[in-house]
Amino acid sequence: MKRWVFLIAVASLFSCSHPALPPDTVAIGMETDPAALDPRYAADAASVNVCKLIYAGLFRRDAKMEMRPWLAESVAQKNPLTYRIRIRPGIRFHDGRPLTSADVRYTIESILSGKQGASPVKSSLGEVVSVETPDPLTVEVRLKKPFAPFIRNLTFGIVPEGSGDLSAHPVGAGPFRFASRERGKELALARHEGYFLKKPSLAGVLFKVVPDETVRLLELKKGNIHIVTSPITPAVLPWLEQQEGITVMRKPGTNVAYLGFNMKDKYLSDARVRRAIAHAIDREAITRHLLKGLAEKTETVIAPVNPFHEPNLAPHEYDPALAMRLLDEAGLTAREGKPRMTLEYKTSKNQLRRKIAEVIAEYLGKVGIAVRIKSFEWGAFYGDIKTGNFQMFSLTWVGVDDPDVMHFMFHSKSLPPDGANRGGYANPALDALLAKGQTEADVAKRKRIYGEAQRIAAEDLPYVTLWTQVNVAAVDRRVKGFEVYPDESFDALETASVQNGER
Amino acid sequence: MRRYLLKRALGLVFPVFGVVTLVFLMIHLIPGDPVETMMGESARAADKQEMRHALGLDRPLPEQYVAYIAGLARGDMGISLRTHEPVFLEIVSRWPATISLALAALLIAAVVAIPMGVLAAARRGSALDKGSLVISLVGVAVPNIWLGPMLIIAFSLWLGWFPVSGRGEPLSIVLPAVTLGAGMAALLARLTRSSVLEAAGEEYMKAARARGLSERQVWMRHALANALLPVATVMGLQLGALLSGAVITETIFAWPGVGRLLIDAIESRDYPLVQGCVLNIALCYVAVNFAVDALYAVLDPRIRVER
Repeated sequence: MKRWVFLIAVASLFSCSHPALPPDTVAIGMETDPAALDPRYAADAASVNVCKLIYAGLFRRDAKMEMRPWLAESVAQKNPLTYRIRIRPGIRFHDGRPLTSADVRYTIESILSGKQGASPVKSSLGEVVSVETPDPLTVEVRLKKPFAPFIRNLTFGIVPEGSGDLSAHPVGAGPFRFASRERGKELALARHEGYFLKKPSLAGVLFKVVPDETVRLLELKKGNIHIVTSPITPAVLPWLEQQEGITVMRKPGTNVAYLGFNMKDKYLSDARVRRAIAHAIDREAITRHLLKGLAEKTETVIAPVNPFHEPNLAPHEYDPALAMRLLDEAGLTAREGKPRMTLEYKTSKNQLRRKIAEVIAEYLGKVGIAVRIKSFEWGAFYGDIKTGNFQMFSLTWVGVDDPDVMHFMFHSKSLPPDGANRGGYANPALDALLAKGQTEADVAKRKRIYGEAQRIAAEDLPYVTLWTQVNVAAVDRRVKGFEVYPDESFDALETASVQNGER
Repeated sequence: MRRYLLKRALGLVFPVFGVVTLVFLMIHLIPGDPVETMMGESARAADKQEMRHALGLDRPLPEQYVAYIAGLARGDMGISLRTHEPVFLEIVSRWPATISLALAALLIAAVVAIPMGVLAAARRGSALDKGSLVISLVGVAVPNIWLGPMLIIAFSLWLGWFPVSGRGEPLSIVLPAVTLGAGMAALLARLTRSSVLEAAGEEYMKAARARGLSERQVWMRHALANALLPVATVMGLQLGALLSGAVITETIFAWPGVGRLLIDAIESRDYPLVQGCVLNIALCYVAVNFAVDALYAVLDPRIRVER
């Protein structure tokens, strides 16, 4: 008996105490620990999403991806190079300091200077010449040359003037303030009582790091976690939907999966071959059966949820006969028992990505294109893609917002390392449109420009766009008012509430 | 004895140095760019280059290596590229989780395996022996990645005895420790059985019986004491492995230990943190091996007089 008492005492020493979830607190299961809790340096999705709760930005996107002022009260473009932003009065940081134009200036300048470390936000600001603060609530930013995405990119959180790297002690003006953190285990946020908009109903948010997906879902079933978001393996959805007390929410997102091609390749440089590939793959069947509805077929990298999406594009329907005709026209005729050509398809080691590659290879095989799948560890795979060492690959663009990203993907000058035109695609008509879209300030005109750019890309197919990801969240029914956002953010927690007690 | 231990300690410096060098070269040679991970692909090439320069990643590899070794000599393991925290603190913060899990798993393995092995040896060929063989085979064959979730479903979801995951209340250590200890217990049980059987055939057993000792005394004092030497060696090696982090078990049970830290570091190409974690692993192995050697010298005086 004494031995057992001793053992329990030792076990108690080893484990630290874990208080039960406080009232009005929502627990969210996360796959990884956020790396940086400073909005200027947050690069991974976990960090970016947590930062959006702690730090308020000048603008933010709503559930329909429309831009809404947040800290900003108004914005005016004085001329193509100068933006004047007015900040709401009376806003305070979590530590009580008032938020002024000096803080905005400091945040932008520290991002641009990179003195405390390079910021992933920097390239989204274009070339800023100066940031002036005529009064405590007005900021004037001057650019070197017109850069239309500038305003849409002012969504990063504002930090107090003079702040170093805030990851250890985050201080922002967002709806929740940093409470505590145990690395690799959990991160606790508490309601910001002085929040400048309607105070959140939730007293706090607890992010629990549970790397294994199965265990995350078991924690949800047990009621220890309230919300689990993407990635959720499509195969577990039917089980999840049968669980009592759990609601599965879906919403099309901004991430778009595609097949990329090397334009220097003797087969793939021919647009007819690329079109044949597009018609040879039954994308609807893949999204329905393999991805269990967690994806929707699309023809462009600008997702349907994005206000710049062009809805009137001719779809590439599944038509193997047409695909074979196109290949014949391209001179790739079928010979008895031999494929028309063999393509190497690179992908990562991810199990689902491999499965998708196998299914695509099977479809292409039916029209006479033999496919050799090569899957690599992520770093090696991505390294090959960036250096153009591929014939064909599949990847997903994550968090596509401003359509200027098409310049980064397809402009003939956007070759790596400065851009992501990895296949070396060049189309002067598209180049001209993408350059124009970068400087056009009028939103309606921009929409027309990018509509035309998407039409060219959908016809010439530098990518075969496969599908847009449907974001999913499994939510405990005790949580009210939660919503899945297209960019996978947790912004809905600002207005959500939770019913205390057992489910 | 002191000379023996000093000699052993000196002999351990080179493996550690070798591991540090090898890992430094390997992590820099595998594809993947930490700056890309930190800044995202859309960052301008000039900004990425500036960052590489600030981190010293654009310096020639030998220069980086010398700087790293010089830092280690000063006790500085560098700063994590991902979290900007000192690597040493990042690792140390994970020690309590890793050490507690390793010791608990080892304790469970020893408590189950040694009596099972001794009983199986003492009742050789009996149903008990055969049963223990089956249990051991199952223990070795079942992978942690399956056992962990099964234990969670049975003991957390159905019975509600233990937490599903996380390191919190005292009972939270039970399921991960059982998952981690199961395979080891199976291995130790088989080893204990064969070692005890080997010892049972020795002359000193007959001598002990001839001296009129009870059967229990003969087995416990003579057979087991001699049979435990190889068992202690294996346990030591296992402890070394456990202290370096049990990646799968830590991932399943959301246990914030060193193993998971290493995996996160590799995925984000956090060079200093990967190097720090591997150095930590090497030191764990070396320290445990040294302790086992020292224990050997205590258990078997013949070892320390060997040249």
